[in-house]
Amino acid sequence: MVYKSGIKRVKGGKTLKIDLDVESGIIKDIIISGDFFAYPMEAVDELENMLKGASVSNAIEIINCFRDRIVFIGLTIDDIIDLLRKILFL
Amino acid sequence: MVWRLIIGEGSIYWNMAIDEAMLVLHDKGLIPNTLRIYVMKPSGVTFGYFQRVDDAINLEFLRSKNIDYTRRITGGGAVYHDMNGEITYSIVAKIDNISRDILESYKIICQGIVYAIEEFGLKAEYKPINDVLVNGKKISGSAQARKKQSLLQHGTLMYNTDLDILSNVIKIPKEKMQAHGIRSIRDRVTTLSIELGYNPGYKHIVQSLISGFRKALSIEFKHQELTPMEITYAKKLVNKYRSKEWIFKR
Repeated sequence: MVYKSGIKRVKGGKTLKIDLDVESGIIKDIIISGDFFAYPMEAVDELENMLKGASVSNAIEIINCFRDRIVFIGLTIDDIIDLLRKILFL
Repeated sequence: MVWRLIIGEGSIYWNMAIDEAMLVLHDKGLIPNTLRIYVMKPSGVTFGYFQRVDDAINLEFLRSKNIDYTRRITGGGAVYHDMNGEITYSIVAKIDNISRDILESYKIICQGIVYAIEEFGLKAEYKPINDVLVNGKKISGSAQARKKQSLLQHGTLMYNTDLDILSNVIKIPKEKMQAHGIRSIRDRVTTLSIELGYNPGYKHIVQSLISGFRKALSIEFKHQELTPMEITYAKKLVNKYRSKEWIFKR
């Protein structure tokens, strides 16, 4: 299991952190955290649950499915994608 | 429009439970629009729903000083609620009575804090997303949660917060400090006492918050108490706020 983590301060916005456990190309655990706001908040928990067990190569696609389901304040869903790409060298 | 006004005090666990109970019951149409003004007693720390405990607060310090801490149902950052220097407000209202637009609703409600501070002859400004500043420094922060019909926005007004404790309690990522161009949390925050040169006192600030929100929301208030239904529901929720599962959720 490889633990990876990254942090991004969104310009004019909030702080985003992603912590990941990856094993053989599969996301074993992921925590999306920070001082941002999201509506509805439960959708972020749901997104994390969808990503757990998914392959790294599908991660961006899964996040994109939530584009119309979560309104983020202080960051955008593209910030999550950018940071994840950086962490996973995608 | 007449809103209910409730003034109280209690632990961070109890107050977070009341806020959540009010949001849920308001969303079901069971309670009216309400402004609650309260003091966290004893002092405590709340942090945002999406924050990781270890990133947000200094657990070792909190445990050594026996200071309570819990996770909020709202996003945002960590807050030190000083029982002798900070007043918390919470507003539960129909979203349509404020604004469907989330950023606009923050602005409308935070304007009540701006007016409250201006009652002391100071100039205050709302800084999006959720801050109110005096002389460029943060004096108030707010956070909002929403259900289908209703919103809960709660936030702080620091009047005499012990900034030494605050800076020991709250962890700020270096990326955030760099973004704000500061070296420590103390460079970024202020209190009414610092700005005025005297402590205006709890009662005066409560009155200023009431008139600030009255002006910002064009409403009147009727002083009331919590209903038995709210208290019963909050009693069910309070254990969640004390639980390790909730606090260490992230």
